[in-house]
Amino acid sequence: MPMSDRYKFSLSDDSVYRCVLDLIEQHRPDHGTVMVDIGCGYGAIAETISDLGLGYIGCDVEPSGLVDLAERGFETEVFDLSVPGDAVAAIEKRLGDRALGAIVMIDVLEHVTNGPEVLSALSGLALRQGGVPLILAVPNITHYDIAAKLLLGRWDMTEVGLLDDTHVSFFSDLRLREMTTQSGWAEIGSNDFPLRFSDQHVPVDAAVLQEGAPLHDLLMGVRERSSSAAIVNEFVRAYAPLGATGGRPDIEGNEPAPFLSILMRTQGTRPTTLQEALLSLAAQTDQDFEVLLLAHMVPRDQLTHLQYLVDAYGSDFSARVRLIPVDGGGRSRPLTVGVELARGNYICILDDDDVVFGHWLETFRSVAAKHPGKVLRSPVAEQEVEPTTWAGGRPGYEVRSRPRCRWPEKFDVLDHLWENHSPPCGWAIPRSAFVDQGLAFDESLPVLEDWDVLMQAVLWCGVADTGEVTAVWRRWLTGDSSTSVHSDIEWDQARTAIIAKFDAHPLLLPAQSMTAIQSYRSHILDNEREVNRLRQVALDLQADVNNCRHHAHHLEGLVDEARREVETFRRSSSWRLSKPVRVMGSSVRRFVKPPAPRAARDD
Amino acid sequence: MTGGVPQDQSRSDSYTPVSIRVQTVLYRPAPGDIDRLFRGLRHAVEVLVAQNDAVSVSVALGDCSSAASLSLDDLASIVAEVKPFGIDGVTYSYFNANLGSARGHNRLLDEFDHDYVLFLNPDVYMSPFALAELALFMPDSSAGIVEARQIPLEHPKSYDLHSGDTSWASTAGALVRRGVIKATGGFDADSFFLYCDDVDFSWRARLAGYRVIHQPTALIFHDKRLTMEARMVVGDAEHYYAAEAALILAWKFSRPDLSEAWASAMEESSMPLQRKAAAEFRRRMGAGELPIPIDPDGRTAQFIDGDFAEHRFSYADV
Repeated sequence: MPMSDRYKFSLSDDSVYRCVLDLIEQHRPDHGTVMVDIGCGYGAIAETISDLGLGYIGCDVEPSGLVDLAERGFETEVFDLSVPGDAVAAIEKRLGDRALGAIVMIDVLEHVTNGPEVLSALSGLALRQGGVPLILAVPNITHYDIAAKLLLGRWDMTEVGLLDDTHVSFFSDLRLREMTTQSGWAEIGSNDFPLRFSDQHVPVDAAVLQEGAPLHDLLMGVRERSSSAAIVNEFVRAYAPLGATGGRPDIEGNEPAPFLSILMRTQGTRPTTLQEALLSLAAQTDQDFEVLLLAHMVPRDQLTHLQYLVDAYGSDFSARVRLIPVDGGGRSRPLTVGVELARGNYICILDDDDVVFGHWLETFRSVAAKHPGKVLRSPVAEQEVEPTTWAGGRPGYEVRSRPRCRWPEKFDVLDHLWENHSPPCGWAIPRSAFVDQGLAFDESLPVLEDWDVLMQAVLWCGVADTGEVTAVWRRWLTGDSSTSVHSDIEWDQARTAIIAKFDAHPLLLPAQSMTAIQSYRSHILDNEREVNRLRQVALDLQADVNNCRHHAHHLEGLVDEARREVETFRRSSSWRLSKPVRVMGSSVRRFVKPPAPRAARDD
Repeated sequence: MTGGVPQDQSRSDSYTPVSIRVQTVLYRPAPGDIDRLFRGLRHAVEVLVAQNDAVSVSVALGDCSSAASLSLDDLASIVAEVKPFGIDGVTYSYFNANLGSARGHNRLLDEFDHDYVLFLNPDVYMSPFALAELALFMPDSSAGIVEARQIPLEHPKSYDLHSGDTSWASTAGALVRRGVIKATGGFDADSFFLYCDDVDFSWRARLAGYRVIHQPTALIFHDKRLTMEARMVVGDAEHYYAAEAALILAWKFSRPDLSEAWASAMEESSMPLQRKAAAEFRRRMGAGELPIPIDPDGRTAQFIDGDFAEHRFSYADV
């Protein structure tokens, strides 16, 4: 098949061309201006562009499509993008005095090795023409079908499609963003072309491609959560030219990232414990951290005081603490904001009533060095406290109990699927889990947001235990806390919602889970057997009780019968006649000493 | 934090700034301990001085380590670093012997000519507001010792929520009036090597008429750790000296019944360090090296369930 015939596509409603045309309409060029279609092939959109009242120039290196376009009455230009400057000069010459309205480039960048130069040259053209937009379409190499098949060891090149054998450049969302930004374009719109089943959706019976198969659902869950383009067949984007060629986008920032980003929520209502939390951080043996002090719904006039509390530690500390006002939302809202701003390799939560030991961070770091990428988890001590008032009417609190380590030293996934045994001040999650795997705090949860995010992270990243108690979690016996502020119904609903979320996807359990589940099941069966045994014992006892009851009833009947006979006898004439004899017998007994008990006599 | 720093009423010259000497006894400090100590201290002094510039603060370090923990260059560097924050000077004495905390502090007190001394452990990081909070009690001449509250493991002894009065003060972080030093002569280093020196010191201050105050708003971070059994991590030396000191304390405060009972119990203990402590107590008793008992009426001393104050909770009851 001649090269250009491969790409003789017609315009249909379900095609990338429709997405391109919709985007052109959104950024509609002025009536009468000209649209340049670079790499136009047979010009599938030419007629529609013309119908919009725009001029159309089709440009390509392959003449066959251009001949076809010319026969349809459209203007054409032959040029080779290998020398972008010449190509742009040819366009400008062709335009003459006419105004350029837009540039369209569909399925071109993946065929050239000099994409950045092409884009830069076009940016210059667009600027000279008053800032006209560029509409771009490129295939998505990160489509789920390709990713899934790679896991099977398959890379199926085809004549056309996502893995067209003439493609020399491949694009993810991030790479496209980087290349366009570096080449002088700013994205102003998108209308990506989704295709749930791409041309790479073969073999259809492979478990990784089959909807409903646990393996597919698990992998699709990973892919969809990680970025939004899982089923995008082609990226279709609109750009405006930038005044100057942009540098490399500052996606990660240039400052060296700290080891730990600490998300500290505060409502400004616990200044005493907040000071303790800050103090315990300032005293860490390892100071490689940043604090995002997330002031949630704190009145503006109180922010000054919070900043004062931070600044008092001096610039070497306060430079690492960012006070961030957060308005609206529930308990998770500040955490979402914090994750967006965090720069550390790990992210953890330390609330304003937590306090940590001096080796809290040092311990995390030493375990992270041995188990990079895992969730780091330390056991935490719990201590009961209660609000009080100190001298001078100052609000304070009193410790009411010794610290207790009631949560297990080792993390157990199955136990944690039942309920949380790990207060947030005892764990840290790799930031990559948020950035690269799409982990996020669920803002719809009023409580238990920590359990939700911990389990999501643990099931994918695994856990590394530190074995060191490194923090104290305070349990408030009275006063406001998440326990008292939120009702039992809210806790139950949150728990139900989290279980439903986990039920929506296959669970990824760690190695040795089979043994653990066997052990649990065996334990349950043992308990069931014991319950059944006890139930039978209870039934037997109940039968005994019933027998006794029956026997008692029978005896009661005999007694009643005997009573009746006695009464009948007492009323008889013979009994009444013998009364004097019985009275005499009674009188005699009063004067006769009764015999001593046998035991006494034996003594 | 509005408390001003008063002039010391015991001094005739009312224009003399209030002088505070910070004292720390080092013994094989962990790497970073000294740096951390000064990181906290300098901001605590900065906040205090910002409230009242008629305050003069200096630091005296005494070193009981087997090798000097600081070089002259280190010291010069510390002096330069802390001066902008209001710390007028830092002295360093290498004792070349492990004197223990009591004798180490006493040795430093030989040069003491200040209005207040702030005893501070080397593994402590002061809150920037701690010194100002302790200083709130300066106008009250009855407040002889004002103790800071420790985190992350708060001391369990009880205190009066409103007045702050308590049985004794930990000198891990406590501000002490000059008069107390004069009245007590410092720590009883002959009797106590490590533990209970501060309990004895506090009780003798109270016998001299001073109050011992716990100031919960004065925070210090004391770098203690917990085991999985939620017990404080302590070494063998701490186990031994705590046991020995308890026996001597009970003896000194006229409770020979207790010291005898405790010693007997320790002799029966399965823990060799307890048996060793009891043996040392017996030896001292035999050699006449125990202190002369004081406070025969029990005016200050409190022995409650093995503690030296009423406790709100215990770190021992697992």
